Amino acid sequence: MLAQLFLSFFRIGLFCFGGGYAMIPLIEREIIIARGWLTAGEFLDIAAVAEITPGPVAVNVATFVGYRLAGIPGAATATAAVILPAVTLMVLLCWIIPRIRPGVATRELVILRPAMVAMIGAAALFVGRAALVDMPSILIYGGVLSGLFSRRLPLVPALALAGVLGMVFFSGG
Amino acid sequence: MPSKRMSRLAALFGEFFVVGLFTIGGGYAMLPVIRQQLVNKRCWLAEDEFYNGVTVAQTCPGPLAVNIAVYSGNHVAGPAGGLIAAFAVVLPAFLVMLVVAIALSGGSSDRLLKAALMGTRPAVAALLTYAAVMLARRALPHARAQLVALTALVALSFLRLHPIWVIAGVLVYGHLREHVRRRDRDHAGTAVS
Repeated sequence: MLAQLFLSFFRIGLFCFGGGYAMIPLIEREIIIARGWLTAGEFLDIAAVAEITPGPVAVNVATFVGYRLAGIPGAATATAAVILPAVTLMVLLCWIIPRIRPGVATRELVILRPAMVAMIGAAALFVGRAALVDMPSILIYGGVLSGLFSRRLPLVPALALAGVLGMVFFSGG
Repeated sequence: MPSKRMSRLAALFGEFFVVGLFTIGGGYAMLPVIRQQLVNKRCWLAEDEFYNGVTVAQTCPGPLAVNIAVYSGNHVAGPAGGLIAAFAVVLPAFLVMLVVAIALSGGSSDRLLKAALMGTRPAVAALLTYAAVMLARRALPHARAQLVALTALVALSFLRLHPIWVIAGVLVYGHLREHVRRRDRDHAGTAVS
């Protein structure tokens, strides 16, 4: 189990270009579909908690899933695995970059940009499909989205507000 | 001077523990905190070295926070500094999330907590929609890039291709296009001369 955890999160860490959100389709594939370690709903709860706790979302998800599956050793294994590719590659890059033509790495990044947009778009579709299930959830989605686009509603208050609305709408059933 | 080196590593650990503790909402939220701690307070990095680091960190896969920590730590105290900084920046997230995981798996029967989490689900969906739209506006300057992104999105979400293949496909396509464009330009150049 620890070896499987390590491999899955190592792959997630290795192919996570463009920050935490771009990693969600990988988590969907590696953790939710291939292994059945989490349901889409549980993942959404973790993602919300990850937004309001310190640290990178990738690390938060790794810690949570690792703990859920194999206790504290699992949490430590998954967390180490998800950052290991980044740490190794960064140490190498820091050594290589002064020795190569400038702009090479940046060019790769420009080429990858459409893939990053697509990864985050896919994350939005995946999460939207799992989260928008009834009228109240669609209302919360629309409200938070318009708040973000109008730049009047910062992220953390928006999540807090959504939590309160959730208590109002969903605690009855 | 081993003791001076040790104290430098200890200071690195302290700074990045603070950075990790105050990074709420992902990597980009952390950039101003790191700049404050490393550039203004400690003077470990010059302003332009810091921004170079951000570029390198974005190029590399993995969480931005971790990448910047490795870059800065490496700059200050070599590879050992990079490792210490990465460990320190992740530690607060690890500890806090461990507590949350223990709390959630122990008493997940709490109805109000469950309802609050249900409410945050559509908010996370809204956040991702917003992030995708903003990034598309900024990072896809022309129609061809938009078409590539749309194709990749269809491959991911509807054809259910594994993200690793989609990333590899976009990378190969981008290189082929650059190759073709360079060859065309060279041909045009020889035709004129």
